[in-house]
Amino acid sequence: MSDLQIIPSTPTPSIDAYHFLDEAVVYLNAWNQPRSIAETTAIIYSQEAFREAQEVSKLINGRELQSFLADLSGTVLQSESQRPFNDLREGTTAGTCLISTEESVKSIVNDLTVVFAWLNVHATSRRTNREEEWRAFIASLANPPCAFDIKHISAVFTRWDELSSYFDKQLSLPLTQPTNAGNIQLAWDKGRHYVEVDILPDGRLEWFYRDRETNELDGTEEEPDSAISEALVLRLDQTVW
Amino acid sequence: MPIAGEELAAGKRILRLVKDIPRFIPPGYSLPTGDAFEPSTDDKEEARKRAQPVRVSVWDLELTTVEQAKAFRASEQLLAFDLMVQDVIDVRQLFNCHRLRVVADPFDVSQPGAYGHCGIEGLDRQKGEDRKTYRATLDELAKRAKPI
Repeated sequence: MSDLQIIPSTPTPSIDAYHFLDEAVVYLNAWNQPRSIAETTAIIYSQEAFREAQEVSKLINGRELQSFLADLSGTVLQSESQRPFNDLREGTTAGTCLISTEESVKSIVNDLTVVFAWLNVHATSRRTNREEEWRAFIASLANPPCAFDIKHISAVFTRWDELSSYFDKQLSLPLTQPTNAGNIQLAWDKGRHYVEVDILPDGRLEWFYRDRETNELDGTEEEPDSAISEALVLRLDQTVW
Repeated sequence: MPIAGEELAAGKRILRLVKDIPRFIPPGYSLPTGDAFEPSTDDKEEARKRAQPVRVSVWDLELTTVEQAKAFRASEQLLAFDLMVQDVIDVRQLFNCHRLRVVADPFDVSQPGAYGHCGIEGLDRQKGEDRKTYRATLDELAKRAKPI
């Protein structure tokens, strides 16, 4: 059971949108790890997350989100009421609920992913209007004609936040577009230096750097990177300001 | 009608039409990017069916106008870029990409401008080909192409 516990680590709910997003990223990353479905007989999910999301939604005046979360909470409670509590639940912290069917968990995770993408778009307190515009654009890629999977979109936000964390200054916004291969590409073109980072549906990265004066090249080859490499950070540092 | 497969003269100007997909373009940035010259799945499938090299569709602007070329893809929103065949030759030399060339690929239909259809060969990445050099080739072509 221990490997199935995906509980935000903060004991008291925070109303800081960014804190919640950080927890959300941890939660989603945990879901991306391969695990045997057969072994997934019980999932513990903290109701703290719901309360926190509701606080966040109040903070950012997200009426749509509030209504969505109310529905979502209802779904969880319904699921909970349909099964007798058992030893697993007794062993968890107060305020957790037991959801033991694979499909209902999947459904909730998908719904939460939408919430997180929504929050990423609407949590404005520390972002510039231009970055908000960019985030809104990324979120819009979930709609036709592109119709990217919401998890793919969340992966872009996650990678962006990771990349941003390497720099003291705010990263300049990249040209952003879908690629022929079904990836989402971020490209920085500063004349001499050019960097493009393609984010794959599973969050891995293919990237390419070119110094157009010397033709020095760098980047991934056959295997995409599963984490942000030192080389990519170095090349971005040369390019993005 | 031009002879299919014949390489275009260096002095010719060619047109590349690209689907106008959703993009976020920050101030100071311009299109195209290298992806505009990457063969699509359809390009590869077409090549397989015709047992020919993969060709990225372009048009000879001496034989086809922008409007005529767009009429062949009337249902799509398209962006138009042009570059010289000489640019493609320069990129071929710069990156040692011997397969890179522009060839005539006329459509055998009566629609106006059909004879001006051409293809850039050598833009499909071969097995074992260095990805960075491949991306650099696309980037260099993109830098030379201009919106029209």
